Amino acid sequence: MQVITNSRRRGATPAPGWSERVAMRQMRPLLSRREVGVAVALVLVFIVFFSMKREFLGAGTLGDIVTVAAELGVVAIGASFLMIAGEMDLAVGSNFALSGMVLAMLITKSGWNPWLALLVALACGAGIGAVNGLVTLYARIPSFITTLGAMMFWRGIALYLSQGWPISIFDDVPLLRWLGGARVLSTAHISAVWWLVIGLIFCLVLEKTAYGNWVFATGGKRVAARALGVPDTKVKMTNFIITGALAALSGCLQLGRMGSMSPVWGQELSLEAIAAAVVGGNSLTGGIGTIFGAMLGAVTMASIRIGLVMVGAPSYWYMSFVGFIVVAAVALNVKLGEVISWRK
Amino acid sequence: MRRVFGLCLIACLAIALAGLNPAASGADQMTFYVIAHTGPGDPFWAVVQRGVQDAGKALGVRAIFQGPAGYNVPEQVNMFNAAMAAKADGIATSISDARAWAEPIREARKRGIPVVAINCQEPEEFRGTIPYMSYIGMDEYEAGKTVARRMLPKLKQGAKVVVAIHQAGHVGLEARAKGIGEVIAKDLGGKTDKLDITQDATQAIGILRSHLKANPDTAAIFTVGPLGAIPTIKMIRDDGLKGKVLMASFDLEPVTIQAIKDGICEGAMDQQQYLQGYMAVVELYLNAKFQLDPADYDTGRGFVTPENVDAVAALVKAGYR
Repeated sequence: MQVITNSRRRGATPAPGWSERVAMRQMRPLLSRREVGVAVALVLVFIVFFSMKREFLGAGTLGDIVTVAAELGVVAIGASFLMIAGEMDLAVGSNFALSGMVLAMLITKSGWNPWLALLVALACGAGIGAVNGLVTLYARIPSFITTLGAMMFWRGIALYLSQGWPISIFDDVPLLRWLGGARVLSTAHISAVWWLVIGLIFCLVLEKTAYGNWVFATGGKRVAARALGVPDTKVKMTNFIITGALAALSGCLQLGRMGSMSPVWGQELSLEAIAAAVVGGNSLTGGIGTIFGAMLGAVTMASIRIGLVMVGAPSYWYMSFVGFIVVAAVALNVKLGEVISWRK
Repeated sequence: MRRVFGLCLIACLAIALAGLNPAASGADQMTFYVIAHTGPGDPFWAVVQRGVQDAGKALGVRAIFQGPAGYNVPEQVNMFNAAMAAKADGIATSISDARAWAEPIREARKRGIPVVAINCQEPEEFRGTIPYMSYIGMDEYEAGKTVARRMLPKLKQGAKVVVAIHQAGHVGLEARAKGIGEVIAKDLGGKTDKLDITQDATQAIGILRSHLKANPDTAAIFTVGPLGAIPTIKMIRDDGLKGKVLMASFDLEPVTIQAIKDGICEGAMDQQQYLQGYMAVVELYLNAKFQLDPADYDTGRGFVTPENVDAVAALVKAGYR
C-alpha cells in the first residue's frame, strides 16, 4: 500500500518505517497538510481587505462570501474528487448551465413537480459526467480533450434549448427556497449549508473509506493500483459521474438563489473550480489532494471577489489577484513539501 | 521557508497598496456604486465608466464603476451584495434579469440604500415588480423597432434580414433583436434570421460569411452593439459588400462612426450611455444629500446617420458618446 501513503494524507495506512518518524510529529502534521498554502493565502487576503475596509469582517460580508463560495465550492469539490483520481472535467461550467436550465424548463414550461424535476436535472448532470467518463476511458482520449469538447457541445445545446434567452421562475416554488433562495444566517443563503454538508460527506469518503483509498491509488500510480486489485476504471467512471452530478447541483443551487438560469452563465466556472482545487493543494496530475483544501480555495476566491468590490477596486483586479494567489499558494505548498521531505 | 512566507506577504501587500490605496482614502466621503452586467472591457461600458468617474469628480464623492469581465448576472448580483455590505450611500445597477434582481434590490431598499436602474429594465410585463427608484436609459425593444423602421424605405417587400447577436442570452440585446424582427415581419412581410456571432471578432466574421453564403438573398445585417458591428463592418469592407448588403447597428464607437461616414452603415442608434453613468451618480447624490426623489431619465433615441455623423464623431473619439 505504498502507493496510498505516498499521497501524504492523514489517516492513510501507515507505511513501513512510519514509527521512526514519529519524533517529527510536532510540526509535521500541521505543515504536511496540503491546505497550509491556501490557509496562509486566505489569512493574507483577509488581512489586506480588513485593513482597507472595516466592514469586510462584518456578518453581512461573511454571509456573502460563503454564499458565493458555496456555488463555486460544490463544483470544486467534484473537480478535486475527480482530479485526485487523475482526471479533469472542463465541462462542469456547461453542465452547470444546462442542468440548471433543465430544472428551470421542467418547472416552468413542462409544469413538472419541482422535486422530480430536480432529480432529472441532477441525473442530467450525472449523465453528462458519465458520457465524459465513457469517452475518456473507453476511447482512451485524455479527459482534458474529451471534456473540452463536451464543454463546447453542452454549451451549444443549452443555448439551443432556450434560443439564447434566460429562463426565469416567477412563481413561488418552495424547492427554489430550499435550494438557495432562503437565507439561514445574516446574508448567508441556504446553499452554503448544502455545500458544507456535501463537503463533509466527501471529506469523510476520501479520508475514511476504502473507496477514498482507491481514489488516491487510481490517481497516484495507476498500474500499481491495478496490480493491488483497485478497480481503477470503475473508480474514475464513478468520479466522473459524481463530478457531473455536483456541477448540476451547483447549477440548481444558483437557480434557487437567482430564480433565473441563462445558457451563458458559468463560463468561467470550470477554470475557477480547478483553480480552487489547485489553490487548495490538489495535484493537477492526481493522487494528491484534499476536499477541505478545495473548499478553502473556493472561500479564498469568493473573498477576493467580494473584497475587491468593497474596497472599490476596478473589477479586473479579480483576475490578477486570483492568478497571483493560485501561483503563490501552490509555490508555498511545493516549498513546504520540499522542507518536509528534507527533514525526513 | 521564512523567506517564501516573507516574499508572499510583501508581494501581496505591495499589490494591495499600489493598486488600491487611493480607494482607502477619504473614509467619510459619500460612496456610490454603479454596477453593470459587463465591465469596461466593452467600449460601450468604458463610456459609462467615464460618466461615473466624471460625476464623482464633479460632485466630490467616491463613484465606483464595477462589472464582471463578461456578461454575467449572478456575478453582478454578487457585486451588488458586496456594495451593500460596504454600506454604499447609493447603488445604480442594470436590470439584466427581471427575476434575479427583485430580491437584492428589495433587500437594499429595506436597508435604506437608494437604488436606481440604468441601461436596461425588466420586460414590460414585470414593470413595477422591482423597487428601484428610477430608470436611466432607453427602452431596448422600442429602440429595435425604431432602427428597423429607419431601414424600411431601403428594403423591398418580403426582404430577408439577419440580426447578429454577440451576446446570446443578454436580455437587452435579445429585446433589440425582437423589436427588429417584429417590424420586419409586420411592415415588410420579411424574414429575420437570428445569428449568434459570439464576442470573438474572427469567429464572428466566419459565422457571418458562411451565413451570407448560405443565404445570398440577405438584404440587411443588423448588429446590436459595437462587438457585433466591428467584425461586420470589417467583413463588408473585405468582401466588397458595400451597397449589396445594408447594415444598421446600435451604440457608437469609432469604427461604426467611420462606417457611417463611408456609407457602409446606414445608421446607428445612440443611447448616450455617458448619461447613464453620470446621471445615475447625480440622482443618487441628490437623493442622499437632499432626499430628492430620483426620476426616470430617457438617455435618448437619436439615430446617427451620414447627415449628422460628423458632429457626433469628435465626441465619440473623446470617449463621451
